[in-house]
Amino acid sequence: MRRPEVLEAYEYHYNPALARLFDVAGCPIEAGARGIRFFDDTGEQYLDFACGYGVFGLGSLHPRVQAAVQQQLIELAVAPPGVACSPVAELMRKLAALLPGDLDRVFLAGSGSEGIEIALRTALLARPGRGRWVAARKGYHGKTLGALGVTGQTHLRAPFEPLWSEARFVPYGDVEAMAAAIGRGAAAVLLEPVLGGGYITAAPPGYLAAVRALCDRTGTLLIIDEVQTGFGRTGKLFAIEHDGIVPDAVILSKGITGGHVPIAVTVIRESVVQQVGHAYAADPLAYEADSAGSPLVCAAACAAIDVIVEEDLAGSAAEMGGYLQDGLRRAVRRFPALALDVPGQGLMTGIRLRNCLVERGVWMQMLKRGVVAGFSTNSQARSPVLRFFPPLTVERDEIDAAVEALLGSLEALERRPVLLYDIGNVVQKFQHRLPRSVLRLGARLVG
Amino acid sequence: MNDAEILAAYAEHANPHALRALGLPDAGVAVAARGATVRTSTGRELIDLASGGFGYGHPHVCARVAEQMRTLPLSSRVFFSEPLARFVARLAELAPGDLEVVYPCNSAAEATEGALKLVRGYHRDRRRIFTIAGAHHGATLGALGVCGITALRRLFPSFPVDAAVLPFGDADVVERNVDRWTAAVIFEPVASGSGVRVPPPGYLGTVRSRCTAVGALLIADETSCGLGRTGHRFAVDREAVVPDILIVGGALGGGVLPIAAYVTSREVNDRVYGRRDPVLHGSTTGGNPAACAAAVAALDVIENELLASRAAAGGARLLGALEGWMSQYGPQIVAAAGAGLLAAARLSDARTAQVVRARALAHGALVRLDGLASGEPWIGLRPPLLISPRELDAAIRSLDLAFAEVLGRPIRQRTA
Repeated sequence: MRRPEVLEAYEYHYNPALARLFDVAGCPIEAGARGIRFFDDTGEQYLDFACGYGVFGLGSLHPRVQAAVQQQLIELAVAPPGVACSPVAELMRKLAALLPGDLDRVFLAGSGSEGIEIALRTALLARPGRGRWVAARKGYHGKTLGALGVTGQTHLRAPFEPLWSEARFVPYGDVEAMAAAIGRGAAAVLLEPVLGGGYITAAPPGYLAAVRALCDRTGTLLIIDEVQTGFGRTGKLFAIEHDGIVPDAVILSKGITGGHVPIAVTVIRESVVQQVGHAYAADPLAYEADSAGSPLVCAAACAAIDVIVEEDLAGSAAEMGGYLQDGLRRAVRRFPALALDVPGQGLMTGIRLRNCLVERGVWMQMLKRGVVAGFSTNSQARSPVLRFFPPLTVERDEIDAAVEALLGSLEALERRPVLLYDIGNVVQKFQHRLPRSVLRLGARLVG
Repeated sequence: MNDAEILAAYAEHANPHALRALGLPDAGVAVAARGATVRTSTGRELIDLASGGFGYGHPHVCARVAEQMRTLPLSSRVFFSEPLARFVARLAELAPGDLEVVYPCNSAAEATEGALKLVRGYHRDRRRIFTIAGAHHGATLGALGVCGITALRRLFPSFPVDAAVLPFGDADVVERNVDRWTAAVIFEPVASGSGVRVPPPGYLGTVRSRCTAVGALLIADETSCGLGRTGHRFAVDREAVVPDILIVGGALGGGVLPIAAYVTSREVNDRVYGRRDPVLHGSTTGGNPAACAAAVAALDVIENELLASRAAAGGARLLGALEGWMSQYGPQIVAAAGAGLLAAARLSDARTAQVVRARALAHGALVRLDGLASGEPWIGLRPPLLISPRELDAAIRSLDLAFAEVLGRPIRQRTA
């Protein structure tokens, strides 16, 4: 397909709002990728510091995962319900072995959202009589209605509410507020170990442990969303290791896709799963999704896990995370009006920018310099964090290149008075309702 | 891992409450599959009458997916993706009427959730959603909120979205209840959540015109009956009905990758997402290049190899067999229904149904046990679209043996 056809397909058959944005930004068509680089249809190469929102933790087309996928494709990609197969068994074993405590029961899903739904459903069944959820303000757990209803970012929920009548949102890191919201007991608390979205706020040390204790005292289930943090990105294999807690359920995705397939898993404690048998009495298969957990996706996930564990990519993430954050802080020191600070943990990090328009500007300038950073997609954050999420296999010289691109981008933006970005930022809040011509003007302002 | 280790892993780590029902370990360990046949580690061949999927190892689909896997399986999501563009354009082309905006996702449940989000976004002042008794639209919480199976609904204190349940196949009840306060009606053009039920002729048309008259959105869930399965490209085609949102899944992944989608009209999409942040509609892996490549290949095969006609022919064979067994075994088989490769027989009790299923497996056919939560035990038959006449015959022979063993000697025509 040529570009006009692709644009037309996006515009008429997919997502007109996205088509406009891509068109105005002059986005190319992606053509391929390898390791930390991907290529567009004009032959340009880009260093990947976005990782497809976390799925390319091993870089693109990692040879071990590729080999596993191609092999499984020939052997058995999908199995019918009722028959066992080896890759599924292997994945369940691996996960149970790697996770602490009695986190032993593995439920396979197609996406992080679905994984969260499995945890929510289990909580409602395990805690009959309780319908309250407690989650973090500014949190993100998914786009399906149950998960959306416990997603703290209000602007994502608002168009589709009302969802849960009893969802309470508390400031991340605030133990007292959490205690007050749990009260005598909720169905479950949901938390990310590092608040993702546009914020990348790492849990204060001891926070998750304190929440675990509150949950224990009140019989509330603790659901930890490690869709982004899982499998090494924060410097530990699982972010729950930073505080050493055992949640009642943990959701994993992104990292175990190996950059090849859609997959998520919800691992639940044996003791909790034993409490929900009544829900399966009428029909044991009531909640089985026919499409989740095929041999193909499980084979990819197994290969990805092997690489992550054997090569201690969590350790690499800790080391390289420190190096990357040091580099990003240079930008904060040199451009304090535009770059505010460097939050995060390990390679789950980024740079907080003055406002949304500046974030977009930096992103576009970096693209021109051959580096793709992770756009926060959070239009409501006053000062969003542009993510720097390279593959966990990133090397120092690649980090150097990204930091240079960042410095160059900020230098370019610094040429205009900061006031212009503040005014422009107000206008960009309405970008989705503005005509294309105005958007192009804005793109020229920052791009 | 050897077989014993594999089965032990399932026993220790899979959902313990679903294990026995999933047939493990009786079915064994699958190591290969082609068409509608699965081969186990002991060399047994099982005919799949349970998955309701596309079928295994189709060369065109596998080749396209292998190629896309080598190039770019998952998208960066920051640039245009050509496989995505190709898929949405193709599905828009095939979808009936003015349905042309596609939301690709990873599973049928996600597609249902997406459809419910459209309803919520479209009708800000209407809350009422109607669903049909016996329907199952997915296991995520929004989808469970519109589940038509009372025994499942009762297990939860609340859902993010709620629905009232209407009896199956009753056009008058629809006319009476669907009104200006109705936001949407969600239904399956051929019901398969609890056994199989084909609505009476005219029912689809009546539901459509009633929804149109009051401005309610009509959601047709074709996860289990779409893509040629009932002998039409889409099951709604049999009455030339165009829903407002069409959910497609099942065979869409070509027997290789998970993918589902909904298709809606420009008008509905624009009202909800038109002037809004595209992130509202986002997904990390939904519409990924490899799954889109699989879907385009699957859609091509369905069209080019006339899988809808094959499904009609195979379905006639299946339904004929079921009706034959029903007349042979009298009151022990209460009903038989089918539309194409979506057929089922309702047995008089659950225990018997379980034994029939086990005996069918012993004779080499994997069948479904449906409707238990609705209190109706059905032996469900949902072979892959690729099933060949030879495989179908073999499966029917297996079922014949199973019924004979379990339901006793054949009873000739009963006299009054």
